[in-house]
Amino acid sequence: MTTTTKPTLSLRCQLPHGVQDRFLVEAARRRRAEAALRQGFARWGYQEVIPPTFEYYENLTVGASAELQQAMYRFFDHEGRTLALRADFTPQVARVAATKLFDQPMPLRCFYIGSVFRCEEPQAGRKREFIQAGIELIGANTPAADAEIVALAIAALEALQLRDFQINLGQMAFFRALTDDLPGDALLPIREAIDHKNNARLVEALDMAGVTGSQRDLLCRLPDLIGGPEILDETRALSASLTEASRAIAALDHLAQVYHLLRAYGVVERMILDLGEVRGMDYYTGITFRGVAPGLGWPIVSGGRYDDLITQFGRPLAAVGFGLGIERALLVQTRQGMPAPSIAPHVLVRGCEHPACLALVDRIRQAGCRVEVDVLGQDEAALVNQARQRGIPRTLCWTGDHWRLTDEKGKRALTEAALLQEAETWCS
Amino acid sequence: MNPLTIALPKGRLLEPAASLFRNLGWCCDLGNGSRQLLTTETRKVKTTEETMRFLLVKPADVPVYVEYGAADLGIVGQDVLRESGRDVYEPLTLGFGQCRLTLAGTPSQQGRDFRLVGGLRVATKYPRLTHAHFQEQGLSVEVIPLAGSIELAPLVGLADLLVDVVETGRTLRENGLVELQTIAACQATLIVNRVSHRLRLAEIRQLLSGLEAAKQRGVP
Repeated sequence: MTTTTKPTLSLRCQLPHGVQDRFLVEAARRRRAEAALRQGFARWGYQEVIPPTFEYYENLTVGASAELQQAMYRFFDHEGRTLALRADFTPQVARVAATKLFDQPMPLRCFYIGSVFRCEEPQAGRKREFIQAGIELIGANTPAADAEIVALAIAALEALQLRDFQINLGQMAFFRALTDDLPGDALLPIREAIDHKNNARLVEALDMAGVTGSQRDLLCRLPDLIGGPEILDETRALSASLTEASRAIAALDHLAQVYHLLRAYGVVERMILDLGEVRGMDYYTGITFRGVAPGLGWPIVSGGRYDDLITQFGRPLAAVGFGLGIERALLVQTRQGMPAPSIAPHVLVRGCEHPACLALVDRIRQAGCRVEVDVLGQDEAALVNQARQRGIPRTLCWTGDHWRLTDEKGKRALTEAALLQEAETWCS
Repeated sequence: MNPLTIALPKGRLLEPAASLFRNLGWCCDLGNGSRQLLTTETRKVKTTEETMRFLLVKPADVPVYVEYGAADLGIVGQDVLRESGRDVYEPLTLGFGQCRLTLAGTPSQQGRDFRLVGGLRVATKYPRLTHAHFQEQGLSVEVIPLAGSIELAPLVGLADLLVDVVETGRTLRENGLVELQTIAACQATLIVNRVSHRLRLAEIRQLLSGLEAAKQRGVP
């Protein structure tokens, strides 16, 4: 009988709960996704903002929910001021816009890609450090601006080659108009019940708050007001007798306009209107949306209009934007069978002291190829073997008077010119 | 498209849950002697055939499967759901599995003002709910999490009180314990994954209306 002792890594080799290393193919996957998004955002006219990873805690909590504030990693500087790692980019971009970009021509189009930090229980696709990519369109409060954001979110998901996703579009301005007269503690259970589509609880909460009439009817209908633009007609009719009827109807009209513009973008088959979308009520003032895809139980992208945030940094600027969880998107990519990027070198070259050798290697690299030069002094046979094992398609050796290329076609002698010409095809 | 997947709870809710689906035309045979945890069933609705996948899962795990989307839907008691704190839709209570989450103890605990007692120990399978209940009343208690047979705890001095679900109250009475306070009424409820609800809206709505109709008819 053999006994096996489990090897325990010393603390030196352990990671804290909720963070991970990314390397080899996983690192390449992430950077490929970031590159696709960066390119997409730039093509839509967005420019990058790179705020610091940590700031004063009070500034990072502006507009943040109580849960998010609790989840922030806090620490102190040498003067005893409380700092925090960002849990979200939006307050940072808001601060930059309000203090440094406010006199640029409006609207501002900003994007960001980077780590955010939340000390919560890790769940699928989201650890305590995770990557968020997002955009903010600042200084425009029109249906056209709203439509651009939603269309860009869709374009971003398509740039990541996700299939079958769906965007649910809501209108917080409608929910606010519908519930503005309700005191906070009465509204909270109503909103939670709608958020969980818990009809039994909703009725209870409405009874407790003494809500009656068309306000009650509408609130009861909200969890089911999901579909195409036809639900707006029904909702308009029901809203006619509300106290805030004109505000509510204006909100619905705005939503209808956004939907109409999205039709022009050619993306309505991905859209579902959802008036029961009431998350983030303290934050969103207008349209809200969430992107979901089969293969993941949580949304991949979420956003909306938040006109009350930037004023807290000193400038009253309207804003709309979204954030996309890159790890979540990568999970969906994998589940949808997207192949991993290739990270193997294109060619393995035997080590050689000849300056002409290395000059040629440099030219192959300039042509865009990944070239690995052996530094262990291995001979050609060993290198060919290694290449086969590692999935590297070809090996190159300088014999003294010509280049010898070994690939799946066999061994070939090549002149420098011929070699360079072939190398062009290796990484196309 | 993949069939919808529903997680059913092992234990006392399984039979009424399964009979609900049998009533709707599915030949739901889970739990009947076989050790199978996953079956795919088909039913005929007019001329079309519908398929659904059934999973057999521990009650505490139903909200996990549904939150992650491994199951699109699940049936679970509201006590277990609240304790899990999982973020799912709860569109329909199912009218069976009624019970109440109760604070109980030995008869000597009756009439005590707990505000005046420090260091109360409460044994329970529902640590989160228990903690929340006492915190809402401004009371700080020591919660002792146990996995089962909670009635034992106050009898041997492990705890002063217990929080557990009670149907008839017979188990408590037989152990010489009394109910002190009802915390919440619970019943079986249908839960739905948030993403599945958006992506499979028509099918889920159809299922919901079928279940609602069956509930009105008094099934199970």
